[in-house]
Amino acid sequence: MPPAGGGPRMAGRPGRESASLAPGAIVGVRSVLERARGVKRRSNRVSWLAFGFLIAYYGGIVVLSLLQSVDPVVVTTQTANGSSTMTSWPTWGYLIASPPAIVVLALLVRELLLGRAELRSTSAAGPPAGGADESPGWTQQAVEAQQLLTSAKNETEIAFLPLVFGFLGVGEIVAIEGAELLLPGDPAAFFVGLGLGFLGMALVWPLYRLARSWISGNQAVLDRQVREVNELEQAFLARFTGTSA
Amino acid sequence: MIGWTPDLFVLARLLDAIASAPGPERRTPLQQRAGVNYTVFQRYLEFLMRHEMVARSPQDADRLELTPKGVEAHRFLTDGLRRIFGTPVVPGVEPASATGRGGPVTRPGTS
Repeated sequence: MPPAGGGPRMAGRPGRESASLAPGAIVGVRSVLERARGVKRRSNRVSWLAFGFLIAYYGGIVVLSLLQSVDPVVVTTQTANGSSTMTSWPTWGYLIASPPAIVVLALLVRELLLGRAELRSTSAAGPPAGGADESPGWTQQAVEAQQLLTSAKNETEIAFLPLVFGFLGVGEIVAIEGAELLLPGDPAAFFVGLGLGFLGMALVWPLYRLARSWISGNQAVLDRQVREVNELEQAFLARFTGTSA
Repeated sequence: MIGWTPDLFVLARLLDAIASAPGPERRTPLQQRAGVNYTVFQRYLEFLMRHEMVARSPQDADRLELTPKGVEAHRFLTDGLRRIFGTPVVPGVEPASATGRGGPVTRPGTS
């Protein structure tokens, strides 16, 4: 092949002046996939924790029921027709039955908050773990990252089913206990309980919003990078080769 | 080659490998520095030479160097990729902007 253009040749430049540029960008490419894998791993943990919360919550109910048989709390209520007696869970039983569900829920919230913090941090351009790939294959990696994020999104949404069921139980307990506490023996307690129950269930909503913003934030970053790389590719080919992709 | 679109990142790696060499360089060290296999290296090198971004050194035809167009292309790609992916961080390598150098350097009397 003849020398191109016949113009002046450029000498090779001292390595440190330019070596950080493209390799740095390639680090960015790998980080796209690494970040998507990180999101997927985290969504997997969120999913497990959501089911763990459900199990811990209803396990707690079972524990309370067992404790009720050991140490029943007798509640006598005066009504128009006389008095009725029923047994209830011992209050101290909550100290035993609640912590597992609370801890699992706290871990789940922690995962979501860490995910959001990662999204906001600049760690996306962090160094790769291993050596250089032979071919970064941007398109392939971007597609894989998109698939991972979609999968993470679906997984996280499914994880909210056990959460909703768990919070349904929380709402139920809050409703029954709260109504009994506020309006013992009053028929209006049903409606108070209903309201408290919805309030208890509503606690799941901020978590859902947090999870959605975390996943959709990652998707938005990836979509922007894919779009801008495509634009850069078009501009490069048009400017330096006179063709288009 | 018709219908073949080069991967932007492989192009950037090749251009960067040539740009970071201390002088006109033979193919094998360039291929190793670019971190691509020989088939990929040949295909992309042919592309870059065909579009006059890389040329043989006038002193030694076995060695390759960037043309002014190649230098411009290298800067265009690296700046563009840096803009998209943020400040590059490579362990042990100081970014060009931090050193105050980074513009294309030509041989004295050749530009």
